[in-house]
Amino acid sequence: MNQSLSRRQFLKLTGAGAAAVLSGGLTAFSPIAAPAAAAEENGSLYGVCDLCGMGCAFIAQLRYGRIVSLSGNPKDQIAEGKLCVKGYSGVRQVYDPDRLKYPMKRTNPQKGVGVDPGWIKISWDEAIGLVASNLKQARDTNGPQSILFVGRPSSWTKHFTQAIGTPNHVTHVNTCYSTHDVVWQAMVTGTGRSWTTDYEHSRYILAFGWNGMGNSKNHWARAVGRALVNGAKLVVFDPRLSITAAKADEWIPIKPGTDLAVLLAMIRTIINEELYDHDFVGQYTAGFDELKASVQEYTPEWASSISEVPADTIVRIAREFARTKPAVVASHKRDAGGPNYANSWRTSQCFVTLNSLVGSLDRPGGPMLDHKPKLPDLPDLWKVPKYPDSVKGPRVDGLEQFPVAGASRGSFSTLAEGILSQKPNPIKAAVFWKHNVLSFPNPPRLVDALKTIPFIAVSDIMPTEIVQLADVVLPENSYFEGGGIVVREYHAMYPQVALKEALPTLYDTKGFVPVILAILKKMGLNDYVPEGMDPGKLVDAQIKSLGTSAAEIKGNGGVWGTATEHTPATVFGTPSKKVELYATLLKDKGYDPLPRWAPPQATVSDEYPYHLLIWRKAWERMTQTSNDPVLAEFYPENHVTVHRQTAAKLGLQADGYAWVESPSGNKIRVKVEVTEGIRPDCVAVDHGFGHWSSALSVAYGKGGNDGDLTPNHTVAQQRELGCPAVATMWEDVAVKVYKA
Amino acid sequence: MSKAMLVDTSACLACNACTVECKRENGVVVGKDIFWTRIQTHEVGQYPTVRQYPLKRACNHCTEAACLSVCPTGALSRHEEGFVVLNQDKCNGCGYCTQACPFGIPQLDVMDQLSGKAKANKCSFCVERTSNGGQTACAATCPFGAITYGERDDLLSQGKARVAALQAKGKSKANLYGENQMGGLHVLYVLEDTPEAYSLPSQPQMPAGVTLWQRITRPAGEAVIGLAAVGVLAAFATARRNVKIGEEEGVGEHEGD
Amino acid sequence: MESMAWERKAEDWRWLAALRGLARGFAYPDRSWMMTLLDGQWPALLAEVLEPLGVSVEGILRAVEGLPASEDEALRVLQIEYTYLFINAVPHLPAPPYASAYVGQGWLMGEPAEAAMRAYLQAGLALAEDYRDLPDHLSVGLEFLAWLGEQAADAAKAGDEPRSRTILAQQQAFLRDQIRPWLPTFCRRVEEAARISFYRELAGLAESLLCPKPALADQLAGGK
Repeated sequence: MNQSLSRRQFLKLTGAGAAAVLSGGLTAFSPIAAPAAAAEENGSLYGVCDLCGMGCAFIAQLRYGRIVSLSGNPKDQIAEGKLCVKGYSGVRQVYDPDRLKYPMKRTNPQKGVGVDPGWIKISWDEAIGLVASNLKQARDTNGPQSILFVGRPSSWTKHFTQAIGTPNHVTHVNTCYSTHDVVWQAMVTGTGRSWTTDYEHSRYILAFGWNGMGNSKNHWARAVGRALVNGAKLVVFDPRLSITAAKADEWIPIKPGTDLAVLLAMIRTIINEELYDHDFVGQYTAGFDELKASVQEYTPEWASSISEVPADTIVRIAREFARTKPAVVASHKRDAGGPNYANSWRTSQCFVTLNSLVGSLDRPGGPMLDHKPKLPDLPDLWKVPKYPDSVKGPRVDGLEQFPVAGASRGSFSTLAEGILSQKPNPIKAAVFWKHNVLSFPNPPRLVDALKTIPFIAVSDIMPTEIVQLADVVLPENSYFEGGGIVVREYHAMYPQVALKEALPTLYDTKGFVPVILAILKKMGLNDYVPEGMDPGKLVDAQIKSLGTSAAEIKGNGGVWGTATEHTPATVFGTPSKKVELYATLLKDKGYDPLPRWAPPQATVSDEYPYHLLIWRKAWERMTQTSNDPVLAEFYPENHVTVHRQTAAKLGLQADGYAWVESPSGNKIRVKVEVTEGIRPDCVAVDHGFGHWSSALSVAYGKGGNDGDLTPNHTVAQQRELGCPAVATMWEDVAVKVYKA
Repeated sequence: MSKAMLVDTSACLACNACTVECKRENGVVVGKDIFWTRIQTHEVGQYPTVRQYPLKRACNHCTEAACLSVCPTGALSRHEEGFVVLNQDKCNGCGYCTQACPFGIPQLDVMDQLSGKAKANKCSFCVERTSNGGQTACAATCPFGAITYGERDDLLSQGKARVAALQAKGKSKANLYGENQMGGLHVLYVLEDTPEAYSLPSQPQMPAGVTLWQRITRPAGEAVIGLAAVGVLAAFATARRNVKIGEEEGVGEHEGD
Repeated sequence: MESMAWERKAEDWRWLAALRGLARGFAYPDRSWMMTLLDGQWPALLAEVLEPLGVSVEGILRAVEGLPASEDEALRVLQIEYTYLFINAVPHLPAPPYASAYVGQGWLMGEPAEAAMRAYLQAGLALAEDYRDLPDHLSVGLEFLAWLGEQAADAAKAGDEPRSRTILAQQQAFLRDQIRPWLPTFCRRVEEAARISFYRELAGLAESLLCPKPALADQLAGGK
């Protein structure tokens, strides 16, 4: 109970005294020497977009410190002076009113969908203290293996998790490109996949589910466009008429999950008809004879019966592909060789095999090994104690049980069951960085799992679903608000880096790396944070190693690097130093070394009659774009896209609603789109919707989340499915659809 | 000297970069589904022989502009470089332009239901930028070079060359739209198929009521705002039925695709 | 109750002190400020300066009295409510306290933020190094209005009438162009969403002080 106010005793305060007390001594201002209006008026910043892995370098135009527009950096080999619809929209992300601004903790202990966490703003000291004390407690009481980290693999995050001693660094790679990673590791590089493809100089571009032109992978879209104008042919196998298929010379609506059959038959045709590049195969590949023997049973007729692609089409395309030089099988992440089906890793094997058979691997017009500068890394600057042995222990996602999957670095597919089973160890504390619940298969199951974890810290930029389940919220800098350099990677025909000049932080956000270093120190792990360890110092060292300076890069238009002549590789990173058509690494680890047929996991049935296809509109990039009011204005919600026959059969109207339900146990309600451009036995749902975090005021409640339809797996199930990359198998699902 | 834009639909990937950048550049109101340019995708054919055609939909800056003819306030005017500029400050929100346009482009932003305060909305070729030697925002934005801003004559040649290249590749119905329609559009389109496939009228017309209006009522100036003359009203109402008003009709259109 | 000519009010030290108080009120509550709420000093001073201006303080006084007696609890309640109303919230952030959220295209750092920056720069002020928020935050705008008024008063005291008039004109322009267009909408949002009465009352006070009802404005104008 407050004492009743006795105003008399305060009567003496007037004027400045009263104002001072009333203001609480707070001021937002400091005087400046002279009104500096002109100096602030117009400015620009170099930056690098983070809305997808292309990392287009941009130039931001500023007025009085605020970004008014963005344009692509003309000197960046990736951006070529342009951004994409998402990149241009980035200005609305940094200025989103719903953005996370300050560290917060929950005051409501109850966690769940739609439950108000009762956030309270706290200081960074308190936030870091809370995270550190909870991690330390978990570590001391239950061992470091009781700690889970979900986040991108980088030198810094690896250092963080290893310093703590946990083996549980779970990345998203098996939802994204783990199949390609494992295949490239085994067949070509000994490490992981490269990203660059020289579409521009290709004369024949073959795509199996690849939709780079429809996903705003603009460098490649432009390159393919130029190739087409120059007379190249584009052939797309896809159950759905994607944007890329719509631009193609031929769209072949293949049965989903059966690309592997067509590819095997193509390999057989090319080999048997001697259409392969004898020089390349002879000099640079190993295992050709084994491959030849292995594919004899994969006749075009056999492939046709599985894929519903006419046999003569398969033969014709194979011949065209082999005879038109240079030719490339296009691939990136979530194409047919990406982690979409149980057999996708084999499909990816075929991609590499075909590109090798026609001799375009690392040659003009084909997939290229990335040209990246060799830069110093953490161990070059700082010596730290050996990491504890516990980092090699068994993991909550069971990844160590998959011998090649080190390349994939994490399994979103098996995480939920791992946490719930409390095997090999119960998880007592978790840190999530830049990943959301909706990026997992069967998110409701993951939510169940997360509720069993006593402490969760989340670092993010937007109040997403995972943020709503957090105990402590660590607001991160947007990609505008941090400085540094970014190596050109997705298209790296020559080594190039792009400069990031930091926009002053709008609120009190921080870069993730300084935060995790502070957490390590607060946990008492100071030995792992030697004096001066700081991401800025690493960037400085990296720039210095290039023989330049940040100022010089800025003066050069925001990039460093000179176009150089490409020297095709003659030695590869495999045990034999050749492209291994017979992949000895896979053989050693108990997998088929040669591409062999295996069916997708799911089959349609009376109960679940449709194959599920998942895709993305050109302007969607998961939560990064979901809350954008302009994107939501012209495309407010996602759809289930069905064939006209399916609509008729199910009584669906265009712009009406339907339920899509899967054996995962979940169902989503989405708007219906009717098209001629899809197989009648398929339905497609586009990604980026179904947010249940109402704190995302634009995204909330719109559409449905496709990933709800994909089942998650136990480790045992994944072992059964036999994929060395522990693929999430997003589309290997049959669903039912009915009017809502 | 006459400026124009060339839209090469064969290069367009329906990404909507132009849609969002136009909105940002021109400070267009958010939340009312008003856009000064959009992408609409049209589908032609039957599975599995299906074509998808994206079309950038915005003001075509007609040489014989219906909107210009009916505007009572002079909010719409002809720029010396040939395009039609909308000055919202002078707009009284009568909506006549939205009714007259044969392409159904102008949109009315009703700002206050009670008072009826409204403003028309349409592309003005980024007049501030283009008057200072710049290009339109959409042309500057398009990541694929599908939009070009420049001299109309040059763009006519470029467009025809592109049509020829498409025809050589087997797209026999490829054509250049906009050379002569409505006296000549200042936005030219390289189409891969007939205009009808894109829900474009091959011969767009000045609505009959508009011509009537011009001769009888326009000379009376702003006083006609009330449209009291029944005869004019009747004629105009007849003409309206033949005019697509904001709504798109066509096979399988996808807003925003 | 005095009614005051609007012109005089704008440089009246009570009005300016009240603005300073509101500026503090719309910034994140910390322990030291909250102590001045609980011990009654802040509310009493607010009453002291507002009552002569004809603005009722009953609501805010009751709101303060309604806070928990314990310092920790009171701070917690205020901080949770502030976070909920103005920073991040479930279900939705009800009342982002920035002009840009209400004027223009709706995302932050729009033209209002730029206009605010220009106004501050013209007046010789920059945002402090340790200021960790946006230029068009209500708290900053209120502080700016108060500061300008104080500068005008100092100029007048020093005998420089023209300078005083100029600064007052800047203040009135800022109020008219950068605060009034959105403050009522903001206040409605706060009123609807507030779960305790403190910020609802604070919003009401802000509106009373800065957006006079038409009748009152005429009355005030008549007093010129």
